Amino acid sequence: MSSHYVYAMGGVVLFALGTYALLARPHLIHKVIAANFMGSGVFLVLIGLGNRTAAEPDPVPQAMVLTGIVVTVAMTALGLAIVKRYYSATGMTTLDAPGEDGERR
Amino acid sequence: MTVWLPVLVPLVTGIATFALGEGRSKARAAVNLAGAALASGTVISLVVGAYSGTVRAGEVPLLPGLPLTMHGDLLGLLFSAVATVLWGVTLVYAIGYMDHARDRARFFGFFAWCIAAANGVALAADPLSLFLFYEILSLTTYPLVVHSGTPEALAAGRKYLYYALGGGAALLIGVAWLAAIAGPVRFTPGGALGALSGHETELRVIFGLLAGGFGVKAALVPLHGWLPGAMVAPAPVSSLLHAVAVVKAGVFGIIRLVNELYGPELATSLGVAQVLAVVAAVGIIFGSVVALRQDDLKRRLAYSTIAQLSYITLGTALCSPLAAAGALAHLAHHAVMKITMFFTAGSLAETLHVKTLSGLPGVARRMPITMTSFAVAAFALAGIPPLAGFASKWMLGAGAAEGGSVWALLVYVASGALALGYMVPILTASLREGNQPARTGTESDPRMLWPIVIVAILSVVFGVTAGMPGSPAHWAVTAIAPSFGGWTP
Amino acid sequence: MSLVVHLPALLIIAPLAGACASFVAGRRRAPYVALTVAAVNGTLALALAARVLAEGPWRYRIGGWGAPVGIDLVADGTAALFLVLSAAVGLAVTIYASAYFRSSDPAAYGHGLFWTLWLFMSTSLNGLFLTGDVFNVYVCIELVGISAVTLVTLSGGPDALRAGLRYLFASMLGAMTYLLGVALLYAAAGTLDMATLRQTLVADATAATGLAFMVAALVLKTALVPAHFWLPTAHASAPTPVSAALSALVVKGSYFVILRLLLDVAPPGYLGGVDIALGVLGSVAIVWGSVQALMQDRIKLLVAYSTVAQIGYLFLVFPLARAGGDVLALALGGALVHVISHGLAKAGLFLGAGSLITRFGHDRIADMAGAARALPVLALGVSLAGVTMMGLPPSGGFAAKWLLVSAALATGQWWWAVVLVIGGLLAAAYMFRLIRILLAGGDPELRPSASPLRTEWVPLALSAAAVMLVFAVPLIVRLAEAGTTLLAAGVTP
Repeated sequence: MSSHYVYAMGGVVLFALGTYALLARPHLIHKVIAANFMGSGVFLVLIGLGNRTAAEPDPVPQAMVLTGIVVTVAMTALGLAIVKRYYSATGMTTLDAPGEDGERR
Repeated sequence: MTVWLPVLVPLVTGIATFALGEGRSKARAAVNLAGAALASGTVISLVVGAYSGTVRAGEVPLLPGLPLTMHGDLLGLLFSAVATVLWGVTLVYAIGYMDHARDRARFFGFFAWCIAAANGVALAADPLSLFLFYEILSLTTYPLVVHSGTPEALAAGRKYLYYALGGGAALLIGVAWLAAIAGPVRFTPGGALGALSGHETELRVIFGLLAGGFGVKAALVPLHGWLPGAMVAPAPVSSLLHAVAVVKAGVFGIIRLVNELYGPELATSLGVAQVLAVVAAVGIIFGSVVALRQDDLKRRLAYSTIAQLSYITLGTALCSPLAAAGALAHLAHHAVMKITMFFTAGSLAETLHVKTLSGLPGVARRMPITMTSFAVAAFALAGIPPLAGFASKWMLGAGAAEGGSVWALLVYVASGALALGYMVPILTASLREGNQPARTGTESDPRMLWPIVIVAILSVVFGVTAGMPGSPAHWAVTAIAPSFGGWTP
Repeated sequence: MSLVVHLPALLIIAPLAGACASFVAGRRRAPYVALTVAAVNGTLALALAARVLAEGPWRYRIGGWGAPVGIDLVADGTAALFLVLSAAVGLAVTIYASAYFRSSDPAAYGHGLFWTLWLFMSTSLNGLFLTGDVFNVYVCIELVGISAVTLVTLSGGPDALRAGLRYLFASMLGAMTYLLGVALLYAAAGTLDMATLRQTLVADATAATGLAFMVAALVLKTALVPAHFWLPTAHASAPTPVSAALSALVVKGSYFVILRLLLDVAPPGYLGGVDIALGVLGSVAIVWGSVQALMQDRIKLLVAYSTVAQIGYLFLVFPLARAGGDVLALALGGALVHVISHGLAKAGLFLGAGSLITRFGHDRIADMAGAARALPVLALGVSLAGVTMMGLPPSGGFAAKWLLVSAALATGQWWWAVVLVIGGLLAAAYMFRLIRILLAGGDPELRPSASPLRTEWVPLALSAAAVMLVFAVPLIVRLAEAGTTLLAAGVTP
C-alpha cells in the first residue's frame, strides 16, 4: 500500500473518532475538539487522495485544505465563544444537566 | 368577464365588509345589500343569456394544462340563482337577527365569501375548478359555524372540519386520479368520459371517491354526522348555509358528477349509480325517522334536511330524465321551503327563546304570521299540491316509475308520509294553549318577519307555476334535457 | 447589457457591502442600510429572473478564470426562483425587524449586530444559490451556518445559547461530512465543477460514496427526520425575524444543493435506492412533524415542528424523479412551488406568531383565545399561512400538493399521493387547533399591548403572497424549465 493511502486511511479513522466524540461526549469543549478532529481527518484524506495519481502534486486539494482550515478556525472560534458565554450564563459545561436525558426531540 | 361576476361581486363585498370594521353597521348593511342586488343582477343577466343560447364562459391559467374555468350554463345558474337571491333575503333577516350580536363584521364578511365560493362551485366548468371552490367553501364556512366562540360551537366546528376536510381529501385524490387517466375534462351534458374503456375498476373507485367527497356536504348517510351539530351556529348561518349553500353545493356536485362528468349511461353501465341510489334511499328513511324523535327544533329540521337532500341524490342516481330534472328542481324548491323553516326557528329562538318542540304551545297565538308561513312551507315539504314540494316530488316519483325503479317511488311516498309525521306535530304544538308573554307591537323584528313571508310565498309560487317557463321546475327540465340526448317531458 | 450579465456577482457583492456598511453605520442607522440593501437585492434578483426567462440561463466566470481553475456561478431558473424567494422574505423580515427591534432592549439583538449578521447571511445564501462548484458549496454552507448560529444566540439567554450550540454542532457535523464527500468525489472524478461532473461522472464506488456522504450531510442540514433534532429548539428560541429566515430560507439552501446534486449532476438512479429512502424519510417527517406539532403548547415550537413536517414534502420529489420526462417536470414543479409558498407562508407564520407573543406577553397558545377579535389582521395572517400549510385551495401550498399528487398518480406510485393527502389533513389538525383558539370567545375586554403596524401587516402580506402564488404557478414552471438543462451546456455569456 502506497504512503498516500496511509494518510487517507488515517484521515478516515480520525474522522470516525471525531464523529463518535462529537455525538457521544457531553462536555462542550470535547465536542468542539472532536469537530476539529473530524476536520483534520478530512484534510488528511484530501492530501492523501490528492496525491494518488499524478507525478506532480495536485494543487486543488491543497487549496481545499487551506480553505477548510480557515473555515474550521472560524467555526471553532465561534464555538468557543458561545461555549464561554453559555458557561457564564448557566455555569454548565454540558448542554443538558447531568443525569437528564437530552431534549432529543 | 360577466361569468366571473357572481364570484367576484360577493368576494369584493366581503373584503369591503372586513375593511369597514366592526363599528359602521349601517354602511356595512348597505354594502352587503348592494352587493347582493348586484350579484343577483349579474346572475339574472347570465340566465337570460343562457336561455337564448349564449353560454358565457371564461378561463384563467392556473396549473399546467388545467386552467380555472367557468361557464354560465343553465344547470349551474339554477344553483347560483338560488344561492345569490336567497343571500339577499337572508341578509335582511340576518341584519335583524344579529342586531345585538358580537363580531358582526367577521360574520357578514365570511358570509359574503361563502356565497362567492358557492357561486364558484355552481359555475365551474371542470372538476378541478369545482373542487377548488368546494374546498374554499369549507374554509369560509368554518368561522361562521364557530362564530359564537362557545365550547359547543368550537366542538361543532371541529367535527365539521373532520368531515369537510376528509371529504376534500377524497375529492382531491378522485379529481387528480381522473386527470391522470383521462386528461383535462370539462363538464359536458351526457358525460365527458366517453373514450375510456379498460379502466372500469378505476372509474368505479374514482366515482366512489368523488361521490364520497360530495356526499359529505350533501349529508349522504353515513357522512352526515357534521350537520346536526352545526346547528349550533346562528340561525342565518343554519338557514342559508346549511339549507341552501353548503349542502346544496354537495348535491350539486353529485348532479354534475352523474349527469355531466360520467353521464347517466356510463354511471348506469358501471353500476355505480345503482349503489348511490340505494345509499340515498337509506338516507331518506334514516333522516325522516330520526327527525320524528327530535325535540330540538333545529335538529329536527337538520334531519329533515338530510332526508330531503337524499331525495335529490336518489333522483339523480336513478339516471332517468324526469327524475333527474325533479332532483334539480327540488334543489331550488327545498331551498326556499327549508329556509322558511329555519328562519322561523331562528325567530322563535331570538324573540321568544323557544328552541324545542315542548316549548311551542302558545306560539301560534303570539306569532301568527310566522307560524302560518311555517305551515305553508311544511305542507309544501310534505308534498301537498299545488305547493312547490309537490311539483318536484311528482317529477321525482314519476321519473322513478318511468325508469322502472318502482321501489324508489315507494321510498318517496313513504318519506312523504314521514315528513307529515315530523312536521305536523310542530304545527299542532304551536296551536295548543301555552303561556307566551303578550304581544307588544309587531310579532317580531320586521327585518326578520318579511323574509319569512317572502320565501313562504315563493314556496307557493314555485309550485303553482311549475309548468311555466321561468319557474325552477321548467328551468330544471331545460337544463337536464341535454344530458339525456334530446328528451322532452 | 453588460451589467446584467454581472448580476450573479452583484447579488453577492451587494449584501456583502451592505453588511460592512451596516457595521460601520452603527446601531441607529443600520436598519436603514439594511432596508436599502434588501430593496437592491430584490431588484437584482428580479432582474436575474427576468433575464433567465427572456434569454435563458447563463454561467458567470468569477474573475474571468473559468472552471476548472476558477469558480463559475450558474444563473438558471431554479437559482432564480430561490434568489427571488430569498429576496422577498429578506425584504419582509427586514421591514418587520426594524419595527420589532426598535421596541426591545438593544442587548436582545446584539446591540445592532443583528443587521450585519443578517446581511452576511443574505450574502452567503445568495452565493449558495448561485454557485456551480461543489467545494464552494461547502464554503457557502459554512458561512450560512456561522451567521445563522450567531443569529440564534443573539439574545444571549441560556435557552438561545443551548439551542445555538446544538445547531452549531449539527452544522459542524454536516459540514465535515460534506467535505469528506467532496474529497472522495474529487479523488474519483478529478473536478469540482458541477457541469463538468455531470458530463464525466461514471459509475464508480469512490464517487458514489462521496456523493452519498455529501447528500447525507445536506440531509442533516435540511433537518430531515431523523436528523431534525436541532431544528425545533433553534427555530423556536431565536428572535422572531431570525426564526422566520431560518425556516423559510436557511433549510432551503441545503435542499437546493441536494436538488442540484441528485437531479442535475448525478445521472438518474446513480445512488441506487437512496432516492426512495429519501422519499420514505420525507413521509415519516410529514407524519412525525405534524404529530409533534399537534402536541405543542407554545406557539413557536408548533410552528417549528410544522417546518419539520413541511420539509418532508420536499423530499417526495426524489422517488418521483426517476420516471423522468413529464413526471419529473411535474414533481420538480411541485417541489419548487412548495419551496416558495412554504417559504413565504412560514415566514408569515413565524412573524405573526412573534407578533402575537409580543402583544400578549407570553407564548402559550391556550391563553391566546379571542385574538381574532382584538387583532384581526394578525389572526387573518396566521390563518392564511395555515391555508398554505394545509395545502388547501386557493394557495401555493395547494398547487404544490396537486402537482406532486399528479406526479405520483402518473407514475403509479400512488402511496406518495396518500402520504401527501394525510399530511394535509394532519397540518389542518394542528393549524386549526391554533385558529380555533384565536377565534374562540375569550375575554371581550382583551386589550393587547400596542405595537407598530408593520408587525401586523408584514405577516399578512407574506401569507397573502403565499395564497396568491397559486396564480403564479405557470411562471414558476417556466422558470423551472430553464433550470436543469443548463449545467451540461457549459454556456458562457
